[in-house]
Amino acid sequence: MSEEIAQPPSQAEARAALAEVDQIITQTRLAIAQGPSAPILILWGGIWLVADVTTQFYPHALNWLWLALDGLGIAGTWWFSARARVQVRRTGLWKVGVFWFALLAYAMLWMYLLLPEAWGNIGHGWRDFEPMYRRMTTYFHLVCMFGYVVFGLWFGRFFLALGLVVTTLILVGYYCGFPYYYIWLGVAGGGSLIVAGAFIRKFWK
Amino acid sequence: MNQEATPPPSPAEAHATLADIDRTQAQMRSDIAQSSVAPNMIFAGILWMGNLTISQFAQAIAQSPYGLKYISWIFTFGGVLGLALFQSRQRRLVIRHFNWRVPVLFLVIYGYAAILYLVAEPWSLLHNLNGADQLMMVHKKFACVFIAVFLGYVIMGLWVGRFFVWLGLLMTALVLLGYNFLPDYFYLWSGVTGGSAFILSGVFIRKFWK
Repeated sequence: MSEEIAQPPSQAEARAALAEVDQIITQTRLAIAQGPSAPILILWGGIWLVADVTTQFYPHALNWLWLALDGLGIAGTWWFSARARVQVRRTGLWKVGVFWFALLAYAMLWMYLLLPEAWGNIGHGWRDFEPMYRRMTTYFHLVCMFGYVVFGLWFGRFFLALGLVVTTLILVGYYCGFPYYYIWLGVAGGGSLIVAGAFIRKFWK
Repeated sequence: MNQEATPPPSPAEAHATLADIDRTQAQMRSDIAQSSVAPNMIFAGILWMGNLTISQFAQAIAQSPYGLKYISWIFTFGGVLGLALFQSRQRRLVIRHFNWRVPVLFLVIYGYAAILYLVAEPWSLLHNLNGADQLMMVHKKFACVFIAVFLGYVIMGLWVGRFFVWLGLLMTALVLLGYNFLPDYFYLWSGVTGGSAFILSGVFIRKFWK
């Protein structure tokens, strides 16, 4: 592939680029500090503390306590967010919210795959072993797609969309129990990398 | 909590911020496009496809169920070697606005994926899920959720401040410590460490970022 060698930056250019990045980080921090993040974090910290300490001494509370406190947390988060809305709106903060939502969604999928609820009697043959291998392969593929989603949030929506589409394809293949599931995974996962590489070459130059 | 009302940004201020962000992103994209990232991704995609296609037919190829693992490993190892060779043939390019956060982001995600895998120990459940200690299963679930939350801390920290990277890593280590060595006090341990991490974060943002 033919590539042009880029000129090294001058000192002033490098300094200016770093200053820009610093400025953006400072603005982001200020926007977070002025938004509802701090009280929301403190609220969830308190919930976490109360829920776990109570579970330690009253394990039966595990069944309802987390649910009740999560409800409280969601209501509190909504209240703090609604209050903040009238104060200030800054650009880019939606990414933080979407990031946490994506992380929780993927974490739930990962846990479902890594910690099955029921498994039945397992033998030593490939027929018995394959479903677990299928789960683990799916898990690692979804980890890659989470990387795409996070990268896409900050560097280009194409990657966000690609991550979500391939995640959907993987889940469709997994739940429908396609007989050629690994080829499906290979085409979806490997294909996503090829498409991403071609996209970078074509549109980011 | 007492919050002082801050004036909203002026249109010029908001416009300048957006322009800054757009410019930095455009420069970084151009640097990525000129580097060997794209051909490497295409090469890795082909490897990925090949590896999974082998897996599809592994049952026929390998007589033992674990034979698949070795075929995959050989293919993966060969692929990584090929990728390294491919990389070494690329001309060295000057990255003008190298963003270290991108490779670190992927390293962090894969690192945490491995930690989750080790905590869940799916291979140990394979032959014994129905006989697994239910309390241990609940501990595994809680530990995985907590670790996922601190993965979020580390990733956010890459963009907004190293304090959160260190806090996330420290808390991950503490969760693992409690999970492995303090099973009898796991909830208490997690409650105090995890809860205080959130509270500390809120206080830190209020105190140092305003």
